[in-house]
Amino acid sequence: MKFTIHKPGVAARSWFPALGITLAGIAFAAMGGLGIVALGPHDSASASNVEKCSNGKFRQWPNNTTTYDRSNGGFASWWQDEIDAAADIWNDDSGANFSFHDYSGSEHEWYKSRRTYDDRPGLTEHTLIDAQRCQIIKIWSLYNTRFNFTDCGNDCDTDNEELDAQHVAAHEFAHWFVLDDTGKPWQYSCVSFPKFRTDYTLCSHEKDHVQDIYGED
Amino acid sequence: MKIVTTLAVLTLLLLGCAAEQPSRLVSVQGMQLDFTLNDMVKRSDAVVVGVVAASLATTTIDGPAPPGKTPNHQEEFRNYRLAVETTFYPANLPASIAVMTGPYPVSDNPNVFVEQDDIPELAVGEKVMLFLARLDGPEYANSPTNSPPTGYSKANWYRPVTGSTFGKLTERSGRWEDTRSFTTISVQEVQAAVADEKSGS
Repeated sequence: MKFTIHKPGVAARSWFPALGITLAGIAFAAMGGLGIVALGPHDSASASNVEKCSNGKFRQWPNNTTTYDRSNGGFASWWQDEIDAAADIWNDDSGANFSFHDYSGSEHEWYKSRRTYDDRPGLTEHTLIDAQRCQIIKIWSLYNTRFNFTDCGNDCDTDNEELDAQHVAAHEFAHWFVLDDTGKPWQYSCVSFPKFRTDYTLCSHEKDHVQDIYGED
Repeated sequence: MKIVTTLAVLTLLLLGCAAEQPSRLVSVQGMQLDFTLNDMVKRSDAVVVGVVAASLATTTIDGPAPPGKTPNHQEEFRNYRLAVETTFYPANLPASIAVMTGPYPVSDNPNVFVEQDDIPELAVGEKVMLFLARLDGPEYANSPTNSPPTGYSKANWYRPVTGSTFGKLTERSGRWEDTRSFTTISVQEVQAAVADEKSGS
């Protein structure tokens, strides 16, 4: 799928050349001032280009903090604690000027869903990203309850699909920074790397990624 | 001057509207587990090499969303006919089986883009090694995608088992390479894993 954003002022230029140039100048200045990345009338961007963002930046949150809601997902209290602990890993260890805050009512939610056909125990949907501003608008993360989530730490019975809820949450929070775990340079990172284990130490490149975007703490 | 100013203001208003035009993206990133080769075999009902012979029916369902929320996208499940060339497990398998892949996020909204790069896709004509789980278990009973494509029964309807290291493998210089992790294995290694995990089967 592709999209095209037509640059305003093109039609006006055909009516009245001098005025059109003036308007184009004003438009250009206004767009620059607003930090809007606009594409020309024949430009288009595929989803893969949007991923990188036309301004060369990573997708990011508009502010240095964001909220998450794990109260609407039917989680037991211990499970909510696991999600909070996972958020704290990023808050405390990333060294970045960014923090997650628990807030019931946030539109960025954690929930559970049984996904029978899906081998992924956790899933994060950047359900809405403003491609022009390269900003995340909304995120949802889910636990796939075809797996058996506990606080098993390093003693999970993996033959019976038992997984540590905190580790999965920490991994999914990595996706909230758009850190990927497939086919990217940071593929084999610590928290980002999907192993049956609970090593909660962030890797340097994970910290660097967050610090590069949001600044050092 | 007045006309120019008025038109300039109108243009800026138009620009403001244009900036708000939706150009939104739904990106799905999953946690894929690091299954070893033995893990893959253990979770499989069949391990085969075959050629993707044809595209069969596709089923589309609503994508996931938190309780009370409307999904922002749909999920597509695609069926294919696989012409089986080599069977590592079980001993006997029909020459033609159906394989359902997915979920792939899709959207019919022209202003919403969807992407996902962690579920392997099959292409008609390609030769692949797959680790397959049968879709006839009770866990699938109430699923909206619980109907095998025409001409197939649940006994010969499968889905690929997928981990971060292995999912779809293609032949490369005498070995089999995972198309995402680029990890390679040999036929002998697959046979050994099958012997380890399925010897009592």
